[in-house]
Amino acid sequence: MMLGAVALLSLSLLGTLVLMSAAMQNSAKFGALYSVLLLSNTAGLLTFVGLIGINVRRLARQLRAHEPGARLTLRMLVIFVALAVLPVTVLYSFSLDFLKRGIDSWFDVQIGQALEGALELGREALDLRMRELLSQTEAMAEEIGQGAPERTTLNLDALREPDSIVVASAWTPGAAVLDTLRTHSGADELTLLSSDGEPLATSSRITDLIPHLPAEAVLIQVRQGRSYIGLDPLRDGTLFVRVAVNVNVAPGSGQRRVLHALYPISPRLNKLAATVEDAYAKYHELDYLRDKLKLSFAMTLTMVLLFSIVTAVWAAFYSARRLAAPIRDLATGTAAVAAGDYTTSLPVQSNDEMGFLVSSFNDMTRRIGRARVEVETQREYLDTVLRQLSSGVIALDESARITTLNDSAAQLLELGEEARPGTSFIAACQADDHLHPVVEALAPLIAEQRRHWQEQVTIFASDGRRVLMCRGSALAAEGDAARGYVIVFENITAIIQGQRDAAWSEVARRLAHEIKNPLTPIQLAAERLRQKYLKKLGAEEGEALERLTSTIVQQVDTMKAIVNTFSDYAKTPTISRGAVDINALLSGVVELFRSAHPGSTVETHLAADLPLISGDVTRLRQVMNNLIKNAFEASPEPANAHIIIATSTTQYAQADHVEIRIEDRGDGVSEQLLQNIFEPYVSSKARGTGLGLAIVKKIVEEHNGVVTLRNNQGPGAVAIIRLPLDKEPVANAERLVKDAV
Amino acid sequence: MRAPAFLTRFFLLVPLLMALCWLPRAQASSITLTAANEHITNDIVMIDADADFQFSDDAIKAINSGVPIAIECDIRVSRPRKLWWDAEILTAHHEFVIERHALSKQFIIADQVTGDRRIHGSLQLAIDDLGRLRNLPIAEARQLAGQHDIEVAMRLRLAIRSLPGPLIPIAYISPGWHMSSGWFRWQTHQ
Repeated sequence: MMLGAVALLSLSLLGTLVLMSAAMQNSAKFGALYSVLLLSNTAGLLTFVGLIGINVRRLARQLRAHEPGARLTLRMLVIFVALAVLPVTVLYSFSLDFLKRGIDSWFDVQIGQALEGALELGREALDLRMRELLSQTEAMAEEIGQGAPERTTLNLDALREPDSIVVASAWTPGAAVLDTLRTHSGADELTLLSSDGEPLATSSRITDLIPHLPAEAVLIQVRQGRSYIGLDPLRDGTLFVRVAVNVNVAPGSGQRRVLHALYPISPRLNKLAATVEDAYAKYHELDYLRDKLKLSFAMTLTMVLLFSIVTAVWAAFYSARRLAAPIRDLATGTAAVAAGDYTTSLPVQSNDEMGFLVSSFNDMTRRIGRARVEVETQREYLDTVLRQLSSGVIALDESARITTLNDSAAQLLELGEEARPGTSFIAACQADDHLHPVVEALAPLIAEQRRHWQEQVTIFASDGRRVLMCRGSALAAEGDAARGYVIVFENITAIIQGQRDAAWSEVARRLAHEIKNPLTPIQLAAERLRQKYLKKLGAEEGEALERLTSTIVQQVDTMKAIVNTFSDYAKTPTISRGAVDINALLSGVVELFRSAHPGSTVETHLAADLPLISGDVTRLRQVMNNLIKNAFEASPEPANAHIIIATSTTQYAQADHVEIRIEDRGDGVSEQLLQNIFEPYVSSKARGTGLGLAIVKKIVEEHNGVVTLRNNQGPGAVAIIRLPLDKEPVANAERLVKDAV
Repeated sequence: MRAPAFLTRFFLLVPLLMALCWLPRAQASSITLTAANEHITNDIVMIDADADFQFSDDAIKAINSGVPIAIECDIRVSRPRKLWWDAEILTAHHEFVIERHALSKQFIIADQVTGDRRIHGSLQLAIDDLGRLRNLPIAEARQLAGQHDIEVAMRLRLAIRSLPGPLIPIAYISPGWHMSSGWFRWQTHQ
């Protein structure tokens, strides 16, 4: 539609140029065509200016909004306009100059002088004839005034006598005097006028009803005594010689008349005079219109120039917009792709190089979109796998910043909130004290950028000692430099503990078996020896034998007890599960110790609504008994010991647990011993078997619980047992509580 | 973005500025109708009027250069009505051309309707004669028979459209060529 309008305007411009060309060739058409030229140009110009104004506003808005392609459009627009306007302007200036020179050349000085000469020549040619006619008219006036009848056939009495002057008489056949005079003189019209110009009598060959009376100025001149003679262009441009002279009638009477005559000029002379007059008039009219003509042509040319310029400007807008459109689309599409929108598809509007570029862009976005979907799928798959892994996986970039971190890794390492993708893994570990061994072990390996490494690290987590196997693999690297690592953490605490427990069980079993067998013969031999020789010996010797054999038997019993303990530790657990009220269990055990140590202080902070747990009450009582006993023994004065026992419900490892805390105010446990305190044959007591805490740990683990021991911030240590709660509430709680007690 | 806006203004102003630069200076020119009345002669309603013509220098120069100048005379006879537009009875139009005849050095006043030509030896005499309008026929008396309280309006103006082509655009925008008496009205009870 817009192109159609432009084509229409272009045709209008072409028509204007044709009209102007025609006007240049035929100046007679100029007047008729000029208004059309002016109006059509003005209308076209205003239309284009309006279109350009709309385009300028649109471009300004795009520039202010920093829309893609706006600056490119502006740049192309400036170039196009400059290319179009400069040549047209140069052409315009030259054309204007040629136009002025061309018009000036029409008015040659010689032509003007020739026309002036021709006109003067015409006047001179007529002048002689006019003088003759003046003399002739004056003679007729004198004749009329003197009234000589012998010299004239006119009856001038009627003219001399004012009262007898009847104008109608001149028209009557009887008043044919003037007719005779006119016929003799060759005049076309002869009129006798009063001094104030009233016609008194007339004779005319001309068919007009009214005589061609002289103007007032002529009468004034005649009244002043000066005869008048002049050329008069009457109807149809025919020249006549007008003569007006005074007629003196009745000398002394004061009455004056004016004789007015119109003489024809020969047709030949008339025609020549008319030709000269026309040429002279036309030339001088054009000479007068010369500047106007130049102005009009210049205005027309200027309009054409402006029309050309605005057409070029509009065409520049159109072309720049058309050229910039695919580039603008590409810029918009690229920005969309950069923002992550890979569904962008641009319309292919041409099959040229720009169209090929747009097609390539569309192919690119399609492929990127497909690849992105595949990557997302792979990523989701990998995330799912990582979430399901029990091993911790952490991916680091070349700066040791975390890129991927699964839940297991966070749980295994008990990483804080600061450990998230984008943060430094080493810094996150340094923020937690319990992860310092990880930093010490892994930081050098990461710094060395070794391609593969494996390291066992022991940390103390919230549930105690935790042994982690860390395996690192460098990510795809260029040359020797690693671009990051994937570190896999595996908790091998249970494996190592299991292996160690199995080994210790085997040792205990063998030890019990090898030691227990000779003990009974030794005991029997000692008793037999006392029984056989006691009666045979004297009192003194018998007393010695009695004391020695008793010592042997007593020590053998002690050894049997130790061996039984070993045997118990080595036994495969046989748990008889039931609902256990931990508060009731603890209360019973505490009462026993309070009875045994009346001077001691045992504080109990038992949770009122502590739920029941599923467990073996006998073995759990053994656990509580061992731990409380250890607490008393750890106190400086067991008789005055201060023991704090508390129970609560807690959330541990994403599950509900019952937590039991047994705290003493002793000297605590050394850090070195704390690391292996739950292993067999490890004890801080001089006379202990080293199996108490090992058995505690074994029983707690048989109940799927966790037991830890740590030093207090103040004096003493605290043993913490966490036993998992059953999902199903234990029924018949009251009965079970009694059973537990 | 000021440059395109400036260019737009430039394109608009250039023709106007050029026209203004080329224009002759504004000169005083006017036509004043001082008196007018109607009369009936030989059953023809005729109008006599007196007018004062003040031609601009450019117009005087044009006449002396042989450019004929036409003066239009519009006459309108109507019957005024109080609550409605006036009822137009008839209109008449005359046109007088004043031109110079170079060979005879005379100035001619020609009535384009009646064909009457009056010759004067000077331009001023011709202009004075142009101001004395006599016996301008507008209608037959019977056309106005029975009409009472009618209003006659008369206007004299320079006919720009009759000027030579190159002069027309300039005359349209030059005040020196805009001559009009405006409507001169009078009541007649005849």
